[in-house]
Amino acid sequence: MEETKVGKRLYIGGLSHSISQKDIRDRFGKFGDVSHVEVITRHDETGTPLKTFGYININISDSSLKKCMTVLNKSKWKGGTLQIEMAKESFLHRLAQERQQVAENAQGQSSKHQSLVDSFKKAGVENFHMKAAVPGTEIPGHKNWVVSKFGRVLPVLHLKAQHKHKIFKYDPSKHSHNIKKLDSEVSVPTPVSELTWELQGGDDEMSKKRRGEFPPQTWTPAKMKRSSVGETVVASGSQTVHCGRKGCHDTPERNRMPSQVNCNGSVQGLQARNQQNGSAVGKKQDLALRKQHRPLHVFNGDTDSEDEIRMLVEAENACSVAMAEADEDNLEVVGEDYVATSNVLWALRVKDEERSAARCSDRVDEDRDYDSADTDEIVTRGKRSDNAAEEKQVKKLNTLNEDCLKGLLLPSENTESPPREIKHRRDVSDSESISSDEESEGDEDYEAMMASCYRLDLSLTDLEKLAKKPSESSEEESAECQESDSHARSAPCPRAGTSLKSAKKGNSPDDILAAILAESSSDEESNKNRMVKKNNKKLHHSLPAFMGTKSLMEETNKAESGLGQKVETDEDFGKRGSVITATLEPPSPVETIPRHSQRKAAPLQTPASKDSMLKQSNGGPVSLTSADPERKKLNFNTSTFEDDESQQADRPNTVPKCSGQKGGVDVSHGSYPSSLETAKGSNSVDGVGEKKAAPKLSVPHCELVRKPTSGSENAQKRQEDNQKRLAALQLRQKEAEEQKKLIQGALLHLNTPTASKGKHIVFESDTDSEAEQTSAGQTSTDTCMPQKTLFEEPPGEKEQGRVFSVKEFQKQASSKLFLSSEEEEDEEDGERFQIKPQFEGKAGQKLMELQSRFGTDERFRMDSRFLESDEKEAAEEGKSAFDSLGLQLEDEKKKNMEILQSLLHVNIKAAETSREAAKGKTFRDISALHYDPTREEHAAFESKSEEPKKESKAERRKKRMVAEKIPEVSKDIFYSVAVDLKETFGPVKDNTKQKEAVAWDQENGLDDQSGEDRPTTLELAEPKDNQESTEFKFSFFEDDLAEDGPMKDNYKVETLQRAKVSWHVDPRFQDSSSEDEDEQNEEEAEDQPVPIDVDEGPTKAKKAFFFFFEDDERLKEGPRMFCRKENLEDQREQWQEKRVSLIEDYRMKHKSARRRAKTSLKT
Amino acid sequence: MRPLTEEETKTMFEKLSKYIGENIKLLVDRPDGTYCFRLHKDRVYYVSEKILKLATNISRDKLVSLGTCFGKFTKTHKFRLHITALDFLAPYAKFKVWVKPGAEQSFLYGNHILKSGLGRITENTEQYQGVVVYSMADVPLGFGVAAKSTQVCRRVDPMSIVVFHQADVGEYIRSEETLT
Repeated sequence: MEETKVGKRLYIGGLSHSISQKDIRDRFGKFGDVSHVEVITRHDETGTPLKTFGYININISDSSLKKCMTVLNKSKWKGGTLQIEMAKESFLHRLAQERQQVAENAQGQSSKHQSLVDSFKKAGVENFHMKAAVPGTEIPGHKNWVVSKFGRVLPVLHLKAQHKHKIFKYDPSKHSHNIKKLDSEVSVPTPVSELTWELQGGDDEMSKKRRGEFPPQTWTPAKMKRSSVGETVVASGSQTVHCGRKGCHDTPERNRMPSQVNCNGSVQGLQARNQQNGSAVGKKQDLALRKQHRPLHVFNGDTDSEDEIRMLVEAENACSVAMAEADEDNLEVVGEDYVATSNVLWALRVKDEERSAARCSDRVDEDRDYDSADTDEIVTRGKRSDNAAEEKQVKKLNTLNEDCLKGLLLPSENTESPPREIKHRRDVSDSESISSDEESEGDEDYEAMMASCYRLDLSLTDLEKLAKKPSESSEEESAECQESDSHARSAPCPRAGTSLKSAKKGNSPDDILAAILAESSSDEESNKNRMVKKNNKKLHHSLPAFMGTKSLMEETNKAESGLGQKVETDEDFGKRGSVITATLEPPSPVETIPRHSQRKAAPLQTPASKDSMLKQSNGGPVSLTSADPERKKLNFNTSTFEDDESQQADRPNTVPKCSGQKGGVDVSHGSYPSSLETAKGSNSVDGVGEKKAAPKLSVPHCELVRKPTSGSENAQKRQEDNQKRLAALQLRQKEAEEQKKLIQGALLHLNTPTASKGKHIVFESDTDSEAEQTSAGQTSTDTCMPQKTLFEEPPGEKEQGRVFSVKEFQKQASSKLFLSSEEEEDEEDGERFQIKPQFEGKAGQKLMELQSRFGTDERFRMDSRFLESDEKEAAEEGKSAFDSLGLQLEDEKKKNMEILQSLLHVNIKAAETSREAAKGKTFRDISALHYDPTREEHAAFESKSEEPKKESKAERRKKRMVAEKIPEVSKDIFYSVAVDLKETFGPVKDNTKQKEAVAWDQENGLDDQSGEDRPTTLELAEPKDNQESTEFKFSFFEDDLAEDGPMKDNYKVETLQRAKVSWHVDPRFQDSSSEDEDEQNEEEAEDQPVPIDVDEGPTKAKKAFFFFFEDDERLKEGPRMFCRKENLEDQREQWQEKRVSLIEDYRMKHKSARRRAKTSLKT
Repeated sequence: MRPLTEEETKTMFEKLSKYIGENIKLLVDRPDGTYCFRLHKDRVYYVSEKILKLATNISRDKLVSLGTCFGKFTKTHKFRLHITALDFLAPYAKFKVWVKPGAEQSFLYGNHILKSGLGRITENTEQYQGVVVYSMADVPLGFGVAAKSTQVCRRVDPMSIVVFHQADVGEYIRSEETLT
């Protein structure tokens, strides 16, 4: 029967260990073809086989396999029981089979795919695409394939939903709307060599950088920073624009030229610089530049090329260099003594300056700018600012002022010559002051005043401008004013202009001070004073500018000298208002009184008596001008109160003269150039005033002035001027002295009575003023009467109106003032608060306290029994505690100072002195400093010329004598140093040896003395010798020794003794060293005789040479001394020999000596 | 509140002397009254005798401040100057720096002063010298330390720091709660 043989793999177990493949092949070859036999033997660790089994591949039919199994299974073969089983396919075989299978499968699949494609092709589907088919149509012949979007043929999927048994059909034609075209194209495989990345890119910087190509490093971080600042500046400026424009400007920017970039960079640099400077101009420029810059700005763009950036950097660098230079220039280096102006003042000033600048421009436009130099006006304006009520009255007065103005303006016409122009200017300034008053009714406040103060510097140029304008405008009224005009012309003042200028410029600080003071004082003014102010305003109108400043100056002087604010204001008013009335007063002891009364009197003259007022005002300035220079000239500026008084007293005397000026004669008053001017100014005013109030004016003037002159005497004026000047000068001096005396006397009185009066405050002053007002209609002469009545109660006025006026008195009489009042009060109060006797003292106080604790209840009244005895002490302790606190603080301060001193290494002065110095410090106006001979402190400034002269004479005489006496030569001894110093100090060692030698000699001598008991004579002689030898050891020339004598020569040649140098020990003292002593002892013990003569001989011979030479004896000497020349025995023998002879010698000598003595006794 | 120990005094004076030199003695020894330094809660106060007496009535924990605070001692016992001392130090300052108006704000916000903001400087200012910073209007603004000497300042580029900020008046607002 033919059966198919199948290759099988059998497992044969239970084989004997010695079985071979051939045995197996033979045995199983009966049943089939054995293709492969594999025998495997397992061994244990020792190598003995445990079991052997094998596999065989056999082609065998099923029947034969069965047969084989039944026959051979469990059969015994070669000592083992066979065990046959079917085994799995061999690994390799299986692998081969699988491969084969896979290959077969692949064949089958491809054929399937091919068949599908073919079937599709039949249905009209090309490459899974069906053209012109509506999506969703089924492919004919294929149930699960549909046409979806774009004609693609896709399978319908049946998906099983998770956890559900439902099968979901997915039809791609319904869902695949968003499926894009799937490209079935296989990308072209890139070769391995091209697999590395390559960055494509253009020429721009970023891409280069990406590629690893960096531009050379050119900038430093700092510069980067700067550039960034510049860019940010620009960016911030034009950001919005950029955002908008970037898109549109993209293309042009790319085409930008390098030059453009360059300029762009420079622009940026500029901007940066400007920004840094922070100047307003810079900002403007910045803006402009930005505008220019906008289209060009592409720094943020990604298309910037390297070159561009580099250029930018360069440009910026250049800019930065320039900037640095510029900054360097800008940087201000200030010395250590740089004084910062105080902040508050600065702020004020700036404000004022600005304001004044603005004002100035405004005013220049208006024709009627007022002169800032007229500080009086400023002051008054400041005062006026306080009360608005007075403005009405001012208006009234203005009518008058306008008249005045007319008059003033008139002289300014027909001016051609320069000096005259100057005059005109001044006149104009006057007129301006008036005009300003007119216009500034509304806006007069403190600021205005301040502003005008600062405008001083500006005013000169303004003045010139303004001078012309009024002169042109005022031509109309020419007829009236010729008289005054002539006045103005006649005045010879070449220097007027300059002095005017200087005054204007120089006085500004004073003006400010005055203005401030005025302002402060104005607050304190009473109604009456306001009235005064009004009047003063009037007066001021006619005042020339220069005068005002001057008076202010002197005011400040006074202020400095301690009179205080009151004096200033008072004088301001008093001078002007009182001039005429003052003339009528006798110089009474109570000088201040008239002044104040005058001040009062002035306000009385209300608009009703305008003319008289005008007259007064005319008089006022005149007197002032004359008085001020005078004061200056005479140096009357004593800081004491009397000075003020003297000024006051001066006035009556000066007034007549001043009023005399009206005629033009008295211009000579001003021996002082400035006074001349002012006088002139006032003259013109006077002239005007005269015309206006001709009849009335003439009356007082006639009374006051002894020599009223007509205005037509101008021609003679100049000639008279000089004479008058001289006369006036002398007169003034006399007057001044007289006044001084008077005032001194007056002050003596003043101290006592006024002080007592001063404390009473009179409240009737208002009624007084009313009364005065009633009498306002009277002329100036009339007003004098009520004023006199007022004199009786002047102190009351003072107290009432101005608190600051008290200051004046306080200085002299304050102690009394307050003492007296307190005493009075004490008397009154004393009775009320009399202390009961039991409560007296400290204990009493305590008792009272205790008692008060329980009220007045009798039961709980505390007696003195309850008082503790130690309470007193406690109180004292409390006191002492307070003291101790102070002491502690003092200690602390001291300690602090010590620490400070140790820290700074600077001597810090004691605390006390500085404190005292600080106490002594008071405000001093440096400009007003002057030498006052009456002051004791100022004696220090006096240069004592006589005393030193005398001294010097005496000295000179002495000197002369000395010079005659002394042809003597100084007794100093000069040494001519012939020795090389280097040599002397250099070879120390050698010299020491020498010294030792010397010392040795010396010692020897000494030793000999001690050892042999030599006679004293010898002893004395020897050291001398030694000394000599030592002394001359270093002398270069031996013969100098002989010549050496003090008489012979001034120049003494001496050896330089080393002993003089501190570090060189004197050779004579060298023997004190212990070693030497030891040696000494030794030698003493040995009694070694050293012949002195022998020793000294060679040293002396060699003395001549300072330098050592070869085989120098001196060098040999030293070592020789340290070692014995001979044996001890020999030496002893020698010594003994010698000793005999010596003894003999001695005896001989002794005998002879005795003999001699005997013989001498005999004889 | 207690007086300073010697060591503390020394530390403080050393610091102050950087700004006002020997002018410290004008603070210690004032002609217008007795003034002293007191330590309270690690802060140093410059107090007049009068206020000192008044302050003794207030318990220590309740006392917030007295007189003028000059500065405080750090935990490491260094002295740190406070802006409140400016009023006393500015008049005596030896070395000053003026700041341009543009850089004022920057300084007042606590920044250092750059060369570009430097308007004026006292000559011979050494490096690390304590300076008082002023505005160009001579308003004292604060303290600083010169980062560069005057000579170097001239040469240095505009963005470099010239003065290190230490204290400025802006602190009155910025650190209001810590200033006493």
